[in-house]
Amino acid sequence: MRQRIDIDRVDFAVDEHIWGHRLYDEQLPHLTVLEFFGVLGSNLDSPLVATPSDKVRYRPQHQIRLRGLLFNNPFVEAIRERSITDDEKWREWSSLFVQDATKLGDEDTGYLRSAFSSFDDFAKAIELLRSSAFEARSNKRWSSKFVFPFGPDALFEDLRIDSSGASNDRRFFARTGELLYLMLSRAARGPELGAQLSQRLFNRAAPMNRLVRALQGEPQLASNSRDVGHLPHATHPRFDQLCEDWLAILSRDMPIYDALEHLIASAGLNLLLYFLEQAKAQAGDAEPVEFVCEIVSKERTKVRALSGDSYQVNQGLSVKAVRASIEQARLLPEWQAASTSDYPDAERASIMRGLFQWPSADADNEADYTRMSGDKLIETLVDMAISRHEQHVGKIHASWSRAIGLSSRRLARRTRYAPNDRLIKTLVVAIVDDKMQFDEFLAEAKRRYGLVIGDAEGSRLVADKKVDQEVLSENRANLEARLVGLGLVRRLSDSCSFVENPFGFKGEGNC
Amino acid sequence: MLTDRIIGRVGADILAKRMSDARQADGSAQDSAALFRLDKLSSSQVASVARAVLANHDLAARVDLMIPEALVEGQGLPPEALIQHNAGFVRNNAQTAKEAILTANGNEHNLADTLGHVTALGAKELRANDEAWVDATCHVAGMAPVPEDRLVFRSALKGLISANDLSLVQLGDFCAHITEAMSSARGLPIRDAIGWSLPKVGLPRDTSFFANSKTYGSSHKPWRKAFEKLFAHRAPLLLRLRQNGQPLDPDEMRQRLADNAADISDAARVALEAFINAPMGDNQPAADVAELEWEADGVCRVFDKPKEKLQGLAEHTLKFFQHDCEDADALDEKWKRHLEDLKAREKRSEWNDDDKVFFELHRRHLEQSRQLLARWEKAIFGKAIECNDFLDGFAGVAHHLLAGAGDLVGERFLRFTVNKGRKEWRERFNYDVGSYFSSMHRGLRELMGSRVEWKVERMGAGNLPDPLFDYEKFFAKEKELRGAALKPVSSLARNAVQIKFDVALMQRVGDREAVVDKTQLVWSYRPESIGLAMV
Repeated sequence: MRQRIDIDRVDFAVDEHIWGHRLYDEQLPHLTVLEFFGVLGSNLDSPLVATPSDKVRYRPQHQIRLRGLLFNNPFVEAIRERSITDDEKWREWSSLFVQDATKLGDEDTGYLRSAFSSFDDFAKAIELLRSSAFEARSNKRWSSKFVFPFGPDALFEDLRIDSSGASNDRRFFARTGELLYLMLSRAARGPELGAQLSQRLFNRAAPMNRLVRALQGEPQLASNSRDVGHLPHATHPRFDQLCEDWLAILSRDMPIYDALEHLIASAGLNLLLYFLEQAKAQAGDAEPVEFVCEIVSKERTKVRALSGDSYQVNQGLSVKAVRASIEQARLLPEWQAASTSDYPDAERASIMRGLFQWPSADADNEADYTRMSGDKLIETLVDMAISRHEQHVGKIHASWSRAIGLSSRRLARRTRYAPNDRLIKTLVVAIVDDKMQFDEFLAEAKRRYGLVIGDAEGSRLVADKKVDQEVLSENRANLEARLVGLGLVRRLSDSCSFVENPFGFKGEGNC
Repeated sequence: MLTDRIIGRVGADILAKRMSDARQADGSAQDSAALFRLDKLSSSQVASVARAVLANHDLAARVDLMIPEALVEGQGLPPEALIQHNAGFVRNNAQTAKEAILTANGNEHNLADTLGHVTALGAKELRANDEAWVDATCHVAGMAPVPEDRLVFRSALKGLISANDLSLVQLGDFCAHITEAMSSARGLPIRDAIGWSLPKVGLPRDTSFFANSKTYGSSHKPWRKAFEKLFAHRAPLLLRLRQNGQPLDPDEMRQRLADNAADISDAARVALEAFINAPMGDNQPAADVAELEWEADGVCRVFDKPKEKLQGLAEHTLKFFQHDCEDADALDEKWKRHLEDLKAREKRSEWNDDDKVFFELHRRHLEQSRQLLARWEKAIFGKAIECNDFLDGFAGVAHHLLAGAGDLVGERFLRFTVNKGRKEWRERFNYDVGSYFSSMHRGLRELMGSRVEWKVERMGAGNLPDPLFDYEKFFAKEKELRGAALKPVSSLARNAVQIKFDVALMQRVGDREAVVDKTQLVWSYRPESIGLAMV
């Protein structure tokens, strides 16, 4: 744990010291990874290399022209279909587009005519990029939609664009990607990962990147560079695991654009685990995090109820952590010592201020707090911190686990862990090098991510008498059947099955 | 451990039964030994079954035990029952002088295909046999309930097993607790004993829940239904969830705990406070609450919404006019007496024409309470006819009224009355739906001519266009009067897309008009059907 630092622009700092500044529920894993790429893109000279000063700065791109053309440009299709000459199409379109332009460097569309040989080509390029964009059909504001990260020119940050210009309102890029950068740069093999990513993803000569560049022209950068958020841990086993997973995925025999889906899911899963593990650690719970997963099948099983319980327990962890982290102030020696001082309440208020930046030294309502006893202060802060926590940070478990396909309400009223096919595929890609015995795969999934699926992994549940071994063993068989259906498992005689990574083969020899 | 002994006995019973099933038709044993395996039971359960087999002389003489030692380490089984190998070995080297072999398997690697040929006795199989559980429980606990009680016990278990997937241990615990409740220390009768043991299956204790001996008898269906209901309604509460999976609000529970303090015992209050304040995932307080009596200790009060006592319609109406009605003198003495009189009649479901007159006269007042109005409408009109296609509904309602109308005297016509107020048409009715209805059905008015009378009431004095068949003009006029602030409504709430008609079949003889019959027709637009943009 690093020394506590002051966090800017918060009323009090509680969540920030447990998880960092900050994890944010609405920044779903793909947005986190996009923000991460933005930081990485500014640090390509030493990617994911931890700096001694601990300072990472970056200057994100805005790419107003590119995003305007893709997401704030509804005219292209209509004009493309009209039977007028190419020249007229360009002219008509330009006049329409300029009307809606933000005037932040997108007034001149002349460069497009020289980049594309015909209007038709231009329209097709837009269609192609739109179809591969994230959430292209969502009703988010256009400045919060993102093109697939084809290369360095396709990266830009989330913005609010209105008449007063473009500003960064941290709606969807809320620093979680910055934390992801810090995590990976603090992992043991961070620099190795950084080198691979910068080499494979930041290739300006890649065809798709060149297409994006043709639309954008010269990159548009934010007006100044900025510091990244605060991450309280110098090292953490989860950072290393995340880094290992990414390296494993990148080592598979698949194009980088295909690997991105797995990188995102794996980042989401590991961040979720970081969130829960930190909460447990803070609350003094030494048991590892567990996700009891139901593998959905035709029959309703007891595992569904257990999985729902497990979801509920995990959902409650973070609030527990917030409460514990504040109440731990009572255990400090200074706190005890204050009782013998002349002004115990003032003394304790200052201890609280040192820990949580609260009550603030210069606030107008200071009068209220100085008269409070230490216990009352703690109680007040717990209430405030929990109600703030529940607005966003407390929703992380629910929103991220759904986003990566770990939790769902399919066929049930309660949300529970029921991993979908995409997540299962990501697990196979990340865990299995080439092939692996099915039981070993399950054990590894439990070790790395706390996923409880089969009877061997769920032995604690059986020992607690919550469930019969048979039920979990059926759950395991359901997963096996699912994996067979996905083409990821090969069954040999005497129920010996191997999980195979379809992207893992490195030649003929080792089959 | 009583629980394990019960499970062991169940296993042995089922084994015995399977063996007699396996005999030839003439009762002689088969040529080769029958093979059975205990499938994925815990080591204490395997050991209990083995012990139960050994304890039964008849069974022990017929079954050779070959339990892999690794599965039952430390359970103290006699060495002659154990083998060094796994179940796969038994299958391939099945040699015995006895009639059958019993072995066991856990989740050993790569044996499943081999063992697929050996008859499995697993948790599912054990659970399915309610008779065996009753037998085993009575035997192990040394109880001898009368046959009726046995039957009740059996159907209760059968109902429970089909209502929920319980683990063997939970089921065994449950049975063990029933015997404890019935033992001389507590001496509860069987139905109460079952209610008392509910905490063992994750439900709050409610000793008298099954007290009704008529409902909860020898048929398992009412038991199953009761258990299903309990698992659906009460089990989530112990997890601090609503039935729909949303978390319960602790503040509400605290409030109810305070409000009902008189009905909650002291011990219960302490436990309930701990339960409400416990962090998520802490199960001990919930277990403590489960041990309390649901009704007697007042546990239910923390969860239940205060039940509004279902009062009679007359009572409800009188109260309304006394306390809630805006116009305090709305009800005169005559009608007050009428309502007093109705109190007795409504219990017999006897309604007369005066009730209808009362409703007509006081409808404006009753509208202040939506709930009361709905009750009156239901009483007067019966169930409303609902439709999405107005023509369909029109035909239906006409048929319904005419079918019961008797002989024709004079002239008949239908009267459609709409009670939507002017403000409602303007501000709480979907503009597109209104336009749709008008353009779709305005022909109907011409078509039906004098046979149908359309009345739109509560439109005020202004001479406005008809909102029913000329909605667009109506709205334009309103807009003209009210200025630009008036926006067309686009809400898809139920009230915003439906029109309720009171339909009366009228009879006119000379100058006198009389109502023959009445009903209600509710037309609602289906927002998910074709788009309104076509209007």
